Amino acid sequence: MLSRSYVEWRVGNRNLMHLPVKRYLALLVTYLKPQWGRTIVMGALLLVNVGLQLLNPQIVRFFIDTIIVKGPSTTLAFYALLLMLVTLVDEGVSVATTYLSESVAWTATNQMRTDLVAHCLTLDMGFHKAHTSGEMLERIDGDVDALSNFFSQFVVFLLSNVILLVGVLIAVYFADWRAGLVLTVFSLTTLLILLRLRRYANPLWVSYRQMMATFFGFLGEHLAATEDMRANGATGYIIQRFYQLLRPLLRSNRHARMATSYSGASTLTIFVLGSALMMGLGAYLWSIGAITLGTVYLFWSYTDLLSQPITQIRNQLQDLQQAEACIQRIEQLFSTQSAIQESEQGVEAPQGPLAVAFENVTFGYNAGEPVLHEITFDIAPGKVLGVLGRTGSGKTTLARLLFRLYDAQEGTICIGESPIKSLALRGLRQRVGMVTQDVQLFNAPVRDNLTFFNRAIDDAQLLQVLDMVGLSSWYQGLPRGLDSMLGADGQGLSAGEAQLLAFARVFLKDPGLVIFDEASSRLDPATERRIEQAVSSILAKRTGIVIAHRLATIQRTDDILILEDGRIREYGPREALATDTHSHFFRLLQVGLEEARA
Amino acid sequence: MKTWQLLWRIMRYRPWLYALEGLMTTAFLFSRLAFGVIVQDFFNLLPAQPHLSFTIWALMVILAIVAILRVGVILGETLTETYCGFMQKMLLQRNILEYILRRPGA
Repeated sequence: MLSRSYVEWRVGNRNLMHLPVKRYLALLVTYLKPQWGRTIVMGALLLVNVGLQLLNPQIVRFFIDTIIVKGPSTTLAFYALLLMLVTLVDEGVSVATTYLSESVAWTATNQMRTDLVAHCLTLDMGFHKAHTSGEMLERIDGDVDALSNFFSQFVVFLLSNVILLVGVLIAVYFADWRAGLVLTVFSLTTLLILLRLRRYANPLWVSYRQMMATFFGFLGEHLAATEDMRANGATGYIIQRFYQLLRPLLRSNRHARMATSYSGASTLTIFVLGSALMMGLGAYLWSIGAITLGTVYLFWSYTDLLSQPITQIRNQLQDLQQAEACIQRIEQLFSTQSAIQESEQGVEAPQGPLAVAFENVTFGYNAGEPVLHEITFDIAPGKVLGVLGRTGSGKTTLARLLFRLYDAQEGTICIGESPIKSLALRGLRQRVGMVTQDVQLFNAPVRDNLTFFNRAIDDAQLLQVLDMVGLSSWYQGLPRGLDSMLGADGQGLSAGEAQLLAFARVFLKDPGLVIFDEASSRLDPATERRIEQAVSSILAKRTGIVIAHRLATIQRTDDILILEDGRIREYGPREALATDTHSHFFRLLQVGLEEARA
Repeated sequence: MKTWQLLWRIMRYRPWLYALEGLMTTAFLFSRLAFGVIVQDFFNLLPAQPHLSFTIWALMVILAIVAILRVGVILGETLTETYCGFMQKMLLQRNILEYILRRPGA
């Protein structure tokens, strides 16, 4: 069973096999360099630790030999005290090392988490659509977490254990060269066997972690939609899906753990056999009078001590197996390029109201399944285009293309005379503002919700903008002013107020083009009036695209574009269409917009 | 619910599996005691006999046999621990999930 999954894994992920050492080192250097001072102290403490461990059996050896030759004496008390002292200091050093290594590891992995989050934020919408938030959580937090051992211990612990191993061998050579030779051959053989065992479990851990990511993705998705799930009576179905996902997870976990256990059991067994070997050799050497009884103990004790570096090296390699899996996945994430590529020398969009032109634009979220077909229209600077159409006709997609959240497969989109692909991405998004139906709020103070965490904007400007969009009375009711917290799901804000807040964001950004997706739900008349005033002042000096649902909003547009199934059904100046009794727009005005959307 | 009550209820979910897991862990720990007793015998016998006897070699053989028997115990322990741990984790996750789905006004 085990080997079959291994083969399957190999075939599926051939390119993910064994990372070269260079890549590990590169990663370590990047994240450990900033804290090299503490890393060096950690290494020094580990060396002290190794020395004390080597000293311990030597003291007992002298103790045994003294007691056999001289019988009880005061020298014995001295040895006993020395042994206690060495043990105590050793423990103290161990605590200090653990503390330091944890601290180094956390600093390194936190930095890595930050880098990964920053990288993921640059990726395109297509990537984020394809990966659930739960999966991203597991990949950014879970994988990096599993790496903390790698940073805290791998190099330093592996190194110190190798030194301990060599130290033990040298000490045994000094006691008797034959014993030293046997122990050297034994240690090298054991290490070779263990290194072979290592390769066995690694791919199984990779697939296990991948499955965990899927599982968390499922949980995250369903927990986010709890209300809908319950409303539709899907609870039973979710629990059933939960069980279905767990079954392969258990199988994968069992494979990985058993493979690890095989190598663990082998290590322990090989080590006991080594002990038996050294005891037999010691007994023989003692019987021919080559060594003392204390030295027989020394051999046994050192062989026993060897289990520590050997198991530690095995553990480190095991961590490395998991770390390798994580590193591969983290590197994969880091190397994922955004589908939206910025041009080398990005042009800045001009100041003031922006012209917009679509020329034969065809786009589909999946290539070959277009949701927009050959869209052509243009808006002169300062003019307003009203976009009408049923749900799913492509209105929102149109807006997304303007932001370059996606690139169109065919045709060109120009903003301010330049194709958007030639514009600097940051500049483009700075010059285009958007107010959507569901305003995304952060679980953060009002200030940060307005400025998007940009601290350069001063409070006076914020208050002025809040007043402009008619939120000043709302603001006066806040318990802690701009420091009042807002909930991520819009706690403390009505739908209308959330939209007004989004207008405030647009005012702060001061773009040359505004896309306004009007709320389709009914708002109270007072809020509606405030929104209309805000829209008027925003569109006064800017180009606008309004996805309209209300007659009042349509009245302020210059041109009308009616979309149907991703194609232009009608396009022209509003006044001309409104008076043309044969136009679709004319009919819409007669039956009312509500029916048009249904 | 007190912590011990919670633990008791988790144990009762799959009592035989849990007992088996405990048995396996104990067997593993006892194998270490067995090694200690053998090594003690070795160091007691060695100074008592000036020449190497059959007993010393027999002790080495017993040590090796115990080590090999232990492999079975370790593998069995891993298997029961995997199932035991997984079952318990799954039970808790399932119950929490169900609780969240049923919670009013979540």
